[in-house]
Amino acid sequence: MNIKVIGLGGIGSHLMSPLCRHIDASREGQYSVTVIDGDRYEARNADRQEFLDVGNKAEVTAERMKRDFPGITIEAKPQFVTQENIFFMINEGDVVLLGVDNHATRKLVSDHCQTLADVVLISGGNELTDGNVQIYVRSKGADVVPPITYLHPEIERPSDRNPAELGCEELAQTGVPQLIFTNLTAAVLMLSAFRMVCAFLSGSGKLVYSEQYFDLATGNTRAVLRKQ
Amino acid sequence: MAEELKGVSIQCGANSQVIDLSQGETLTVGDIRKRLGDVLNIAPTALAIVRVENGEDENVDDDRAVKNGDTVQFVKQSGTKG
Repeated sequence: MNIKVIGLGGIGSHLMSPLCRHIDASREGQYSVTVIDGDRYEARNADRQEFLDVGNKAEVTAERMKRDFPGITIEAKPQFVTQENIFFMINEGDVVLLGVDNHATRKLVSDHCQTLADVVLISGGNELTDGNVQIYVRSKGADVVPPITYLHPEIERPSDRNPAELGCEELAQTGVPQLIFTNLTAAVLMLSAFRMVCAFLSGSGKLVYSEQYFDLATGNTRAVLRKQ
Repeated sequence: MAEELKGVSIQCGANSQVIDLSQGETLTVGDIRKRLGDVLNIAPTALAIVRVENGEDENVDDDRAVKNGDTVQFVKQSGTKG
């Protein structure tokens, strides 16, 4: 199984260790993990992102995971996903864990996944204290559940821009207050969705939901299975 | 065994409320949007879906009347950040 983790900030940096620990321990099949991000870890990220060194997020994360989990093949791609490179980033059969901070990239990845015959996309996002995880599964050229743009016009017609289109000054200004606990919750729910999808793909489980909402302010979660 | 819903279930994101219409009150999706907008953080532009009797979800406009037993879901926008 080829796993692509796109976005290694508040959500992606937290899901890497448990993801690698899980697949390292499972001993079922061959796994490779590719981490993709064009951004850099800087000291100001330390309040809610998990990293030990400053530098490109993909390279720093890959180095840490290779050291902690030498049995897993891990590759770094220190780039943002763009219209030009997405054909090389996401391929047939991939499982994509998407933890980016803009809807423009979600739309780009979703549209590309819809052109593939077999692919899984698990996307997480959050605001200050709430967020959601969306699942898109495509098998043998047909949608098992609708794409992440379905019922979500904010992703279908994003008002933000891909970070690759932003200058350094604009990138620095995109930060809004976030809470590490909200990021962690999104990461855990993405990993839980990953486990469910793996069981579904292997024929040992069902896809019981395709979107899950959470709200730390009320303590509630709610899962729904979308049908198109 | 699932308990029968006594009222209209309103969902937005992770949160939900029940409004009982057994006193004969009539309510539309737009009324609910106004009444619970702040409580459930329903965006003015959030799509509304009603689960109809065969279990299918139906996109509805704000003038759609609801009745006890209906489930109305306002689709919360996906989280932007990560």
